[in-house]
Amino acid sequence: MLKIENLKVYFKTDLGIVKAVDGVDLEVHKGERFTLIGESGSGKSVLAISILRLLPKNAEISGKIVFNGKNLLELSEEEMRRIRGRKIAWIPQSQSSLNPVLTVGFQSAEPMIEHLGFDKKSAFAKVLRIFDFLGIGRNRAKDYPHQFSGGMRQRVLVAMGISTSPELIIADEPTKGLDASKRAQVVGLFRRIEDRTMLIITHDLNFAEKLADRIAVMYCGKIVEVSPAKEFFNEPLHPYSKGLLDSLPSRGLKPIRGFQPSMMNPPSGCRFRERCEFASERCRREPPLFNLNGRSVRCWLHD
Amino acid sequence: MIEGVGLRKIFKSGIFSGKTIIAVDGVNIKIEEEETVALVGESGSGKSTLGRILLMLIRPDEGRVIFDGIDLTKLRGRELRKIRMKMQLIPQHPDEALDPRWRIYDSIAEPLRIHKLCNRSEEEDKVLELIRAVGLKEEHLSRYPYELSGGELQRAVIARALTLNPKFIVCDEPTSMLDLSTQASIVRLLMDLQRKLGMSYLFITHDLELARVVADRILIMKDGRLVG
Repeated sequence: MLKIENLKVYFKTDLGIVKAVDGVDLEVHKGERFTLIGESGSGKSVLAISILRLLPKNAEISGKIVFNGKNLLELSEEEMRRIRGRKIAWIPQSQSSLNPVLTVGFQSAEPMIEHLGFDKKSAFAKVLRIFDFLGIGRNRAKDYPHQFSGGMRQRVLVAMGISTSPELIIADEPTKGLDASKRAQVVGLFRRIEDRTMLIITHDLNFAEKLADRIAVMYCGKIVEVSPAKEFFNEPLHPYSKGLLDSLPSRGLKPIRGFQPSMMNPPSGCRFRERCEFASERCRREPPLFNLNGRSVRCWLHD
Repeated sequence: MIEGVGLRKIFKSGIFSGKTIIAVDGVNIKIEEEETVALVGESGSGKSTLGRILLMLIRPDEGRVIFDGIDLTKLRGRELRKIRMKMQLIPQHPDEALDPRWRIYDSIAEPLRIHKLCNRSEEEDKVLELIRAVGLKEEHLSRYPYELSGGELQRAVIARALTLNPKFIVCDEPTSMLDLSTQASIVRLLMDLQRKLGMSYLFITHDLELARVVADRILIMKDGRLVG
């Protein structure tokens, strides 16, 4: 479905080159909920945005992003436009992604009019059905974003995302800024649309645990582990994954020592080695992604 | 140590519509010395308003706030400022808590200057002691807020809150904007400091798991009332 090979995204800035994504390989299978977790600055959002090719101009991209057999990085802007919204939908963070002066019904209908050639009337009719399905309620279609709570706005964004029946949905931090009970609602919401292929980006581990089929962990521009969700939460492979889980309040609230390195000059070899309790001499060399019965991990401990 | 009795706060919005919101509705709350009480609730439940009322940053419409036996609602201006040295707030957004045009050093030293507590060299010793206590380095002091990460900034905000040796701190979702591993280190820091300095906390959060770990007692707030 979606296969990313050796993807690199570098940003040229006045201060130097920021290697936001630095050699990422991953594969999202049809029908699964693939969840990419990582802390701020790990490059996870940049990775997601690069799939839609919506990066700013100072970004240099190399590698391959193969979607249904086509390398998206080689497509023309015109061809790309036919994929965005129609084949691959983007569900942004809820905070400020809706236009404040348009009704939510109109905004949700717009992708169908733009991408699928629906007329206004039939697009709006479909929006009403989706609103009912997602529990927004068709009577609210003529309301404006400010009349909605954060959780409800998230639903509208999901409605907009699924309206064109895309093959792949990318959701960026769908629980950011929502409190616990609203988060539970978002989980329910995403379960309702479970027949779709989804790439979910989040730093909310509780959310990931409830929703994900497979989990990829990103640290400092690299994927350090890919595991089925259950196995990941029972027995994480990478020391960073373990550190993240241990810092959950319910699992001991143990911080990871040290700080995230700068993306401009990350440590050579394993990028986690300066914070890792298992670090040894060989960690000075960059570990490859080792395969272990369907899981993969970038750490010499699993050599 | 600090006690709120029959607290009530109504916000009026709109000049013509006269819409009113009862943010805090008849709350009784008591926090003992060296105790951490977690206040858990959804957004909009009134927990931040309650925290600010206890600090007298918002005046309640009804009820009393009693701190060390003194009724704060009866105090004004200068008297209140004096008491306020003993109570501090650690807000949710560390990036909005410090003046962006000031170096970290000045932000941490400001409370000492406002209350004219020491001369310049004592001030410097005090600031250095504080940043060591919160795990920052001396080099951070000459930087501006935008040059620090979220976790470092929150440490600076905590240092500032500790400057005047407070007895009571309201931590208003101090980690909700931080990464998971940073959250763990900041919460650990707050718990360590409490043990060393013997303070009381009102720890406001919407994360029940976190509340279970940090608090001696958990209060749940809903629609302006304490429900459990």
